[in-house]
Amino acid sequence: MSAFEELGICPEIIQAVEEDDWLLPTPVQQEAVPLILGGGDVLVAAETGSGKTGAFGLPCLQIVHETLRGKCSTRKANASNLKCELNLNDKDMFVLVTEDGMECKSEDDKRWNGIRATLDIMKGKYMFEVEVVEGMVRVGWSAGFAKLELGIDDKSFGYGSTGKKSWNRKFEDYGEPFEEGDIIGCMLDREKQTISFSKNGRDLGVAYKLSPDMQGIGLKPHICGKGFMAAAKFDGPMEYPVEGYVPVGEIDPTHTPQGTSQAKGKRPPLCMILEPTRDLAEQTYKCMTTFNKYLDNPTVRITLFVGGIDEKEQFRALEEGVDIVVGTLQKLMDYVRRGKLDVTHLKFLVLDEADDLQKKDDRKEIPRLNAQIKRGRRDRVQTLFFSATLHTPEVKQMIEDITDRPIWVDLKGKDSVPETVHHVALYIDPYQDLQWSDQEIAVRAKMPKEQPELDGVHSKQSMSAIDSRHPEALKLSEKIKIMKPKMAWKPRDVKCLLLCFATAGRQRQVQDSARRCIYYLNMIEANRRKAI
Amino acid sequence: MSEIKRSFNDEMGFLKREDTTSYSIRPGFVQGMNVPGKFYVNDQLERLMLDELRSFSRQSNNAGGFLPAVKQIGNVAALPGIVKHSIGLPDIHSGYGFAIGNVAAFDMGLPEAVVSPGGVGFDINCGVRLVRTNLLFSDVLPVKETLAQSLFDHIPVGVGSMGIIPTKEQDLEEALQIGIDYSLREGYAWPEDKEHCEEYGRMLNADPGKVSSRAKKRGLPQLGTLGAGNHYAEIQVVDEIYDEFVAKKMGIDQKGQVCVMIHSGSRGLGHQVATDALVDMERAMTRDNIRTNDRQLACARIHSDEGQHYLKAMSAAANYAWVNRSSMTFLTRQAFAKVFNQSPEDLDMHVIYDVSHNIAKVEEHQVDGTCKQLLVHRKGSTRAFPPHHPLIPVDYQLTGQPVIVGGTMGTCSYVLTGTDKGMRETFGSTCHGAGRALSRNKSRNNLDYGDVLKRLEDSQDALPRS
Repeated sequence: MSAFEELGICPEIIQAVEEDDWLLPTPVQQEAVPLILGGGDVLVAAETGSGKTGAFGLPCLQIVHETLRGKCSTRKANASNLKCELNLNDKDMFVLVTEDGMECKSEDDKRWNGIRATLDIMKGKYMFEVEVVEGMVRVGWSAGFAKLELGIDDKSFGYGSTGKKSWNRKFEDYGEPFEEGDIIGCMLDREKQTISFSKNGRDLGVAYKLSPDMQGIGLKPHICGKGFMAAAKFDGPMEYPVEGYVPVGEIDPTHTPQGTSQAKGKRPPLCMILEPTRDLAEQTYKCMTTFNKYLDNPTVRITLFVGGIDEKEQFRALEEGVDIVVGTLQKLMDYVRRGKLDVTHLKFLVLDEADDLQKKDDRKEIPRLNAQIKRGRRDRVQTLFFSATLHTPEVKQMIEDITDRPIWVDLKGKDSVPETVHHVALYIDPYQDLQWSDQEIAVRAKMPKEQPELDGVHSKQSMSAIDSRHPEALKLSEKIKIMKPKMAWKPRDVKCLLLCFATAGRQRQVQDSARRCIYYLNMIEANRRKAI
Repeated sequence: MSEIKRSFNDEMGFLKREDTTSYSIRPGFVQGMNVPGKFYVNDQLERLMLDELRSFSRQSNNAGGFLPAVKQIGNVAALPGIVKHSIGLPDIHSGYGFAIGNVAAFDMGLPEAVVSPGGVGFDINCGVRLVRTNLLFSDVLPVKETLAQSLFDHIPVGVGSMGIIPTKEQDLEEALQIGIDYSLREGYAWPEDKEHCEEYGRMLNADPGKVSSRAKKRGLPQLGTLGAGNHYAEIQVVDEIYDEFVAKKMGIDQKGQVCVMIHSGSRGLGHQVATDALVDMERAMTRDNIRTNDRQLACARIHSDEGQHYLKAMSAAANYAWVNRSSMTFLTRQAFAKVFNQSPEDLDMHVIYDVSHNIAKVEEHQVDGTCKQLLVHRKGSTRAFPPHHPLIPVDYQLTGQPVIVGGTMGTCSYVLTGTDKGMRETFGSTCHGAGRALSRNKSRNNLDYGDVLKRLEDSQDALPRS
């Protein structure tokens, strides 16, 4: 019985990690995995190299697989033709909807409560009808992220029973008032970019002309009201069809992002993992595919989205259906903005190296992405934060904006001065201890076995270059020579060298570093003399 | 594991039903058994155990390294120095190396005897504490939700630098060294709490120096937190009293009386100590020529450096867990005091008893007529000493040590007492409760949390928002 089983991980994933010799979970995995599998938002502060990728990779993969398995077994007749209906996940609390998603009502007569339909219209000419059964009603079109009260946003266009059209909180006379029994047709023409309405078949004229900034924004059918009851008609034939307009229910899949994501029985992504750099994204992607080795029924599709890879490849992957997307913030946001990536079904949002992500996020993309994923959804989107530190004000702000009652897993703690400071003094007399004169020793400052393996991702290049190659050391001394005029002291004047280490260094390391310094100082001095 | 797969029937040839509640396992069931195995089951549990064995014998390969509990009992019986038999208690289920609910005692007098961290578990000194009150269900019912919320607000669950009780590194060192005495000194525990705690809340051979700095780093922010998994703080009501005299001795005198049960352990610190030891001991095994049937059964000679190192670190982790439970007892008392506007002393919130169910102890037991010093590993199993045993508190000398067996969410918990029969047959050990019928992963797939919540709602249990 593997120790990973105690965390709740399934046997197939355990088999895959055991092959990589992961026999015991690391501390961060032990703490974080059960919490993530439990379903809440989790904040994790842990050092690099502590097994963070496993800590979020294993449970996310497992939950995605469980979700896909659930979908397969319940065999929802998710037909490949799109259904437009009132969206239970995109409505105010007090709005009730019938089983078939066609009628809605709200008994709250103090506030305007609204509900949108499931499809975004991007292109073409479409219409839907609303029959007013009772109460005050406003009908029209709005963007998925606009408020649920129709007409008070600048991306929200309505026509109300008082005979007024509404947009951005501006109410102007339009058409005529309507009441119980009337059927209002709502037309959206994305070619001419106009919105118009009809009452009982009588065209009331163009209500709004959409501004150019509405170009890339999809609009959804929207009904709202006070103490109202209304029946919507999205499928044809319409009571009062209008020439040139197709009922929304018969929409061409290419005219709506939900269509492109539903073609070929495709699955929209369930999990998104954001990384700050391309290298990290690639590394995480590799790990995820390893974990995924033995999962099937159904298999989980994981794709990498970074710059520098053929875009066509990535588009094709999106067409065919991706369950987990791993990528850089820039690339993923790019795809989302272009409507290629449907984020409305995500169950998981993982921000890895969140402090780095936040530094690169100079346009506040992350909160925007978060809003787009979560707006109008009643189900939870589990958000996971992995960061080297959780205590800087910027990260704290991001936590507050994005997560909901998160649980902390802080294995790093606050940056603080430790209670005790250990002093170690190692005396080197350069005239007695002549080991520094041996170039081989001077450049080999680190014991190869004890150093972590450089994976080219987590460490900076500059350090390893010096150590691995001898001539490079000369280059460094050249650099120092150029810098020399700025240095206030002459190497020969140095009486004593104080080396400060962040952690208690190993004795050998301290000695080697001291010797290396003396070697370089002598090089500088020798070069200086040569120059004279 | 170099065994040829036997058919289920052949396997059954090694198992023999001894009486209505127990089975014995003949040596030969797995390679190298030094003593027989024995496990206690009723009909239902028997079915679970044998089904597990049946599907194992049908498998063609060892997916996920899974071994049925019976096999694990056998592997433990193959460890050097084991005495009498490898015992499986009723709630036994498959675990890391040792099954959970597996008790094994090793003769300290034999040089080859070993100690194994797998026999203690990752959550060192995971245990249960029962706290009584003067309140009745009728007192609590009207403020049920408030009380649950208050308890939830007072006792932090997660990890992070957010524990309520402030602790510094120096405090942690002391807690590791002196256990409940630390809580007593700081004012978090009552003196009577120490009396009513196993080992009096402190293992004397603890050595904080043997606990790695990584473990301490994990332990520091978690002191006073509950933890995830099957840890809980539960407000319970006495449903039935089977022996009035014994119950009164414990402070339980009427049906409907309200108690609080706290189930928690040594959190990340214990896990790290166990992990560190497993890695250490694997190295020592080749040096000392110890061979086991299962890599997960990493162990070391009791008197070797690694063995002693582990026992001292384990004791320190055990102390940590007692401090943890004491802190939570303190917070529970505060939570109740706030809601009922009376001091915890007025509410008579005494600790009935605190038991450990993941620990290894040096104890004296009668083996074949002689008194021997044994290292008893209890993993997922509770000590249950009989009346008149010198190690149990004065209050319980006549009745025997209280044994607290926690139930699962929505089912009952039980308070038992130790008996002489238990002392003879299982080295004074019994089950720990809430053993798993389904593995954690299987229950994810088969239990719907909606159903669980609905069942709890129906039975009027209060659930704080979280």
